Amino acid sequence: MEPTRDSRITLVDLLDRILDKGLVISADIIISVAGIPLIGVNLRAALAGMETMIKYGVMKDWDEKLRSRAAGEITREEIFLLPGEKVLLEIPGSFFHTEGIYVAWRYGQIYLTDRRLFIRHREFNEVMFQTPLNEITGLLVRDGALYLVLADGRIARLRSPGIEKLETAVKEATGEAGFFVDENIDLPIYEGEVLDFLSEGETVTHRGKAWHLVSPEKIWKPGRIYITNRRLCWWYDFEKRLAFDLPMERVLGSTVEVRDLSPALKKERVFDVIYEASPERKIASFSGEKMYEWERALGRIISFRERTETCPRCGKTANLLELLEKGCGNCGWVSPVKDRKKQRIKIAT
Amino acid sequence: MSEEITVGRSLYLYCIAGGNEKINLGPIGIEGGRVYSIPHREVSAIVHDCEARPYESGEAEKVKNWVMIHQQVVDTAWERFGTVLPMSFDTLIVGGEGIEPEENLKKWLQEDYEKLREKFSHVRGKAEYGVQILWDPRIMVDKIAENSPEIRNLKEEVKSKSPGVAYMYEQKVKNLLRREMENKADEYFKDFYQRIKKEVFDIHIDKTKKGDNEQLQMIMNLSCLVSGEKVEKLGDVLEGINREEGLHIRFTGPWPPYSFA
Repeated sequence: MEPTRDSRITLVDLLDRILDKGLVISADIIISVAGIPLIGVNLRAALAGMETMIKYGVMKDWDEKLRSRAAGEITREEIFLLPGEKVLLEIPGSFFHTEGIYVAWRYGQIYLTDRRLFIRHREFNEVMFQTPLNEITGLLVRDGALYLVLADGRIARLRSPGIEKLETAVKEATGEAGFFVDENIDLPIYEGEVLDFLSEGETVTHRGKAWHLVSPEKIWKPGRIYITNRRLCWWYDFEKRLAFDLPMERVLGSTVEVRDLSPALKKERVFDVIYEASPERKIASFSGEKMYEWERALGRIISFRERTETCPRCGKTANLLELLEKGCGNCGWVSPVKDRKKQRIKIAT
Repeated sequence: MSEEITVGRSLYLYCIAGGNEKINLGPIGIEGGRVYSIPHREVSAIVHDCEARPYESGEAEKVKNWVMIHQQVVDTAWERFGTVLPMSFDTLIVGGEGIEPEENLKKWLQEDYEKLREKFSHVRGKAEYGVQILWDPRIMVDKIAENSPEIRNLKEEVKSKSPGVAYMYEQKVKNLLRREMENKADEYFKDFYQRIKKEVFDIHIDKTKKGDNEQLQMIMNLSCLVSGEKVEKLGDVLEGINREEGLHIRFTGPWPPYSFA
């Protein structure tokens, strides 16, 4: 067998080499450090990637759409659908957004079409999540949420008041298009974790695996670290309980540094949380992946906690959180969000 | 005045070549750039002068053309010098405050000189070849179904079942087939990798890709560094794999050693 350089056959192969590989050069003497890989991506989009995207129908005529949108020919509402794409079901719902350690349900409108499933934020005109139907390889409804296993192994989670309707419709749509969807799927352990330590109204905002230096033995033990809207805590895997529990008000600050944990574990990243334990201050140490993200997340919470804002009615300066939670002590202004909740409770009773 | 000259100039770098010959290759570069060599000790940078702005375009044809020219220039240098370490597309060496791009380039060559020499000795007398192994899943499914007693039994049992139970059986068969396919792909990978490895100097496992062929699925994507006299033997090994039913090989090259730079 002879190798070929015929460009009709080898173009994609060659592009991969020229765009992704080659000698690496120290970044400070080449043009725009962050720009180089981006350009590679940009060029690839102009070349090989387009075909795939068009194949999935996602990017079809995208360019023309943008142009005609600029010309004001079509309304904003129509933009997110492709030519000829038929909506099979449209219901309100939310998407479980996880990126790194960040966790949140994001609300929008769920659309099932003859080509894809997506959830869109109407006000921002943003598609928060989407998948072509042929990439859904498994699906399952558990605890009111619809889990989708995607071709690349990711698991997407959707919630909706009409979850059964959505489940049936997705099954029909994928069946109609001839794709096989597995219904006996195993969810990762992480999904099945017990969060029964949460109190009413408490939600997890960040979570991840981390080692924790447990006192008084001063031994590193494995578990999971959580930030909720109320506290920072650590779940000890072996005893299946919260072994560290700290209300957010007592957190003073945090840092990340690299140090040796034991003779065997050297140069590990350690996330130190400094907290008030009257009469003195104490430090809780965690180690694992993404420690810098934890520090940033906690830093943001602390700075938010300490931010002051002026009351929109009387202009008195007050702590932002207090202002939002309790209202203004001076003029009695209450956040409209709180107000609406109160009203709803009244109606219910 | 000196500012006007230094601001916004850069060198488009195609590759580093082994040898210190000072040559002009003429206007063969991207957008007609005049390509020449900048020697430093025992190596030379192959460059053209341009503005400090990357080549960018949304037009596929234009970009394709640039990339092909990049490749042709690297090829030309490869022929002239015998050994090259290619750069990826759009590598532009810039200057700094009061520093010419040439100065930066030479500083880098000086600092990384030993590393570059090691790399040159690694790739000398060798070329890179792309080996992609694809299979036809439809043929493979049939083969696997025939050879698996478990699947054969299930298929036999289905015949006597009610439609509801038969449906469940079919799902079972599908799951089993999928697992068997994965096993088969793994098995092939290990087998082919061992056979190919014997004939090459160095090997890189690249990500498999999907989508550029409707019928075929890629199960292996390798970049191989091969010395001249071994190419035929590698070709023989691949020929043997290609002969198997349902398997297809894409064998490309010789390329400059992009994956081993």
